[in-house]
Amino acid sequence: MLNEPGLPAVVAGVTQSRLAEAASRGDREAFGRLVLEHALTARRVAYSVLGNWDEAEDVVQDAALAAWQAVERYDPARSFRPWFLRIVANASLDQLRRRRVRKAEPLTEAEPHRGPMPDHEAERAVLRDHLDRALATLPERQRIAVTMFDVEGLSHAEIAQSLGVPEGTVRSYVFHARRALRRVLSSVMEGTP
Amino acid sequence: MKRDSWSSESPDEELGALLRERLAGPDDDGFLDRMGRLLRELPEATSQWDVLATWARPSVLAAAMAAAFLLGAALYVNWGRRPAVTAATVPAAALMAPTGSDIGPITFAVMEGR
Repeated sequence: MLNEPGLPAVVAGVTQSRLAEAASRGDREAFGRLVLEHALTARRVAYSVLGNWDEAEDVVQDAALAAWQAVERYDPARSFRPWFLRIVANASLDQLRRRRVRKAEPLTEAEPHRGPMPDHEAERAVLRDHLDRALATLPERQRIAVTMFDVEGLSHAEIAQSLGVPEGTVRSYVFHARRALRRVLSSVMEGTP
Repeated sequence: MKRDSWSSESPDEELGALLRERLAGPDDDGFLDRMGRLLRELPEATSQWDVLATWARPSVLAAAMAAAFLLGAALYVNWGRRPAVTAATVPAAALMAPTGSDIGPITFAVMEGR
């Protein structure tokens, strides 16, 4: 059985590679531990594409099932995280395409209306709002790349595996995403939105 | 924003912190609970060979039966149509008694066949 639900699996003496090896042979417990360990990252990556937490959770769950069905094709010599995140990223992009076919929707969830708030909170709210809008203007793969690199701390090589593109392309994605985000944030901080 | 945090080789901590705050999802523990439940209820892993095997056995049997039927049918039909020994178009005399003057009958036999 898995560890206590909700806790990332950190089992003394059991290395990632042994878990990966076992998972690739269809060991459900090992697979579950690895997925749980990266589930929060996966949800943030999905959210960065979809802008909706409920949808992001659904996508991560679907991705976990898809990963389990494909686990035979996972090479345990390689890191589990980019392999799993690749499935999550593809599932998120597919979900976004389906949603676009259904109807045009805003990228991020509507924030609940807030009453008057202190200055610094109001500032943060404005910043968040601009960040959301700036993120929404980025191509999805740039959003994923900058989230994986600057938020999750994945290496360029891992992101390249996750997105199925060369490392140089990942560097370009991160560079352009950062530039676009900083341009917006700078204008907010200078008070010239 | 500081430009020295722009290195493309290391995460941009300032931007990362802002994004992390923005990407802080609701109810992490609840989400992990739900994921844990899903992962405990995963169906047994089925290898693609298992799937193929269940599909292949009846298919191979059906293919073998079809092949046997076709082979039998082909044999039956060909048995009925076995070519009988037909009369030679070349007169036996032309083949059995070659003499210097027999060019004429062979030529005649060929012509006769047309």
